[in-house]
Amino acid sequence: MTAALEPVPALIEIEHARRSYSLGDEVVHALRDVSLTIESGEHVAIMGPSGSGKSTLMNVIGCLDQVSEGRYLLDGIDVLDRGADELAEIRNRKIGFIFQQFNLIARTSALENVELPLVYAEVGRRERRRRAKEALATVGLAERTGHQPSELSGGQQQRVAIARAIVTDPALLLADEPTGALDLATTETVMELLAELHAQGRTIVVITHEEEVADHAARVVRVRDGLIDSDEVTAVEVAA
Amino acid sequence: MSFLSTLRMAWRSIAANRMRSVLTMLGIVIGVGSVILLVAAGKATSSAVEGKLEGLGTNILTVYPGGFNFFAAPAPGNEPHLSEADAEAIAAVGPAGGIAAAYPVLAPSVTLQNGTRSTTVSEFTGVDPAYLRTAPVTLAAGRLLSQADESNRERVMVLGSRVAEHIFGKGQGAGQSVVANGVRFSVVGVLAPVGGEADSTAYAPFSAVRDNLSGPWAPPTQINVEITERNASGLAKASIDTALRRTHELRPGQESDFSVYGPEGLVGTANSISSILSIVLGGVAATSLFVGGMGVMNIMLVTVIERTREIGIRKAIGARRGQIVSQFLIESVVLCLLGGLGGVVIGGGGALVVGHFTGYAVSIGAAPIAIAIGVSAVVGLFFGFYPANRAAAMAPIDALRYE
Repeated sequence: MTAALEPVPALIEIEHARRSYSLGDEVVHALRDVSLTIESGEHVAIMGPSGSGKSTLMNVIGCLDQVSEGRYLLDGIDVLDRGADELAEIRNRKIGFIFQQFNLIARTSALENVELPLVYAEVGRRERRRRAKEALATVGLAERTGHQPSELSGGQQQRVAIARAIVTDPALLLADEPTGALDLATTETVMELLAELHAQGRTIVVITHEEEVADHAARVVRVRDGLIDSDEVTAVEVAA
Repeated sequence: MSFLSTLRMAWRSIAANRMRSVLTMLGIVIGVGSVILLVAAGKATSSAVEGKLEGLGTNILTVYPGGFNFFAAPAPGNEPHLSEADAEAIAAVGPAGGIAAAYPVLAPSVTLQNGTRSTTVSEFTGVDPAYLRTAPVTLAAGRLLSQADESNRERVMVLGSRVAEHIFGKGQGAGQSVVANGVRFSVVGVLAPVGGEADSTAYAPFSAVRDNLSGPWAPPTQINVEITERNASGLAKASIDTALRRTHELRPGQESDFSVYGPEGLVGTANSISSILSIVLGGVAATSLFVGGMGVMNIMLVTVIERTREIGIRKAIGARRGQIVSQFLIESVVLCLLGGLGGVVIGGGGALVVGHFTGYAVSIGAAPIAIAIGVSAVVGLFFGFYPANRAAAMAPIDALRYE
């Protein structure tokens, strides 16, 4: 019972993050001063027009990019000033990526695509296979494990990508415009799938500019000019 | 990351660009193939030379016209030559000087014909029949040349096994006749096969060759000297030197216009030829593998650029630097290994085909194949290193954004 007295660290803790880079002679301030805390189990949408800094924020959260100033704790780990290999390991273990363009590896079966994060985590072959099949079953593609990306529809490809994102059982699912390349009907199925995963207790952060997608989230963070414009809870969550 | 799955990835990428992969491998294929072929050819040549040495016998010295200095070109019309008097002078030294006998040899170029079948004898020897007793030849059919053949100037011939087989058929020839440069000779005997060049010979009496084939004024091509025993070759060489310098009226200090080869001299020549050959081979191998390796590196760089996005994806989902490096390294090693295997198949096949048509005994051996495969792998590692590191050094965020 002592654990309840100690503050549980938030999953994402960003404090006064700044990110600027030079583009020719110009210095672009993509993030001016961003502080953001996301608890484990939340479903958050990050919105903003293009150029607002939301992509930079997503890259920072995904450990693909590093802040120039400030602090970022992911699941209690300070990710600042980590080497490339350490960051790769953190991404592998903590984050499941879902991209707009699905980003599956071509000429590689759905099953092998889903196995790939486990390959890099050096999980044994049999265990890898079992977990990848399980993840594909979760997204409803148990029958399509042998298909290559070119043999799957856009919606199916995105579901394979989601299976790949959840196969390592990461602390965070990070989706970057996950439905940007899908039609309305498939958008709906993918969003329902994400909602289902959230219901199972997964933390989901979706970067989007579509209101319909943001509607699925319980909290919407709006970014503008490298600053957080608004941060509102849109749905009351039932504590897990 | 497991080796097998990396291997599978590499294979898939190679198979996806089949044409390009084959073209890339071609440099390695040609490099390895030519080395395998040349090594086999070198071996076949040196075993042929060895066969020839055995055919020459170990207690025979050979005197050729012309000195050891190949660069001192003689004045035209004044080329050094040997004479029958030279042979007599050598024979006159006798056993005290290590000499048992000396035979002048006429070796004109001769084409033998039987009906429509003909062959050019690579080693036609017109020599005193007594010489055949000392040379290591064994009869398969008929008889050897006799002293009577020589004194009666008989147009008779003894054929090496391959020559006889070529113009008469297997096991035939003895008792038949053959047309040599338009003159009919009787074939009195056929020799048993001994392997190598020694089977492509033909022997005829010195007198008959002089009368019918070489022309009456042709000087002997060489003088074969039989020595008293194998150990006497040093003494015999000195004797020949003294005798010929006297008959050729050379002043002290003047260079000899003849040269004496013993079996060991020929072995030395063969060895130096084969060592030159291996240096040349090494150069060919190194150059072609270097060029092939550059081709592989070039394509690997293209591959890395083409697959920038894939590299970005892999990094995003957690590939570490070493895992990306090993993926591309293995790909270039597999590419080179396939090229090396192709080279072994093509070079080995080529050697067998050449061996089939020339009659040389061709053997390739496990060692050159193992070395070729090993070197291919090293080339793949060496030339794949830079592209693989370029891939691994990409920033994931830039690689993901690459279109």
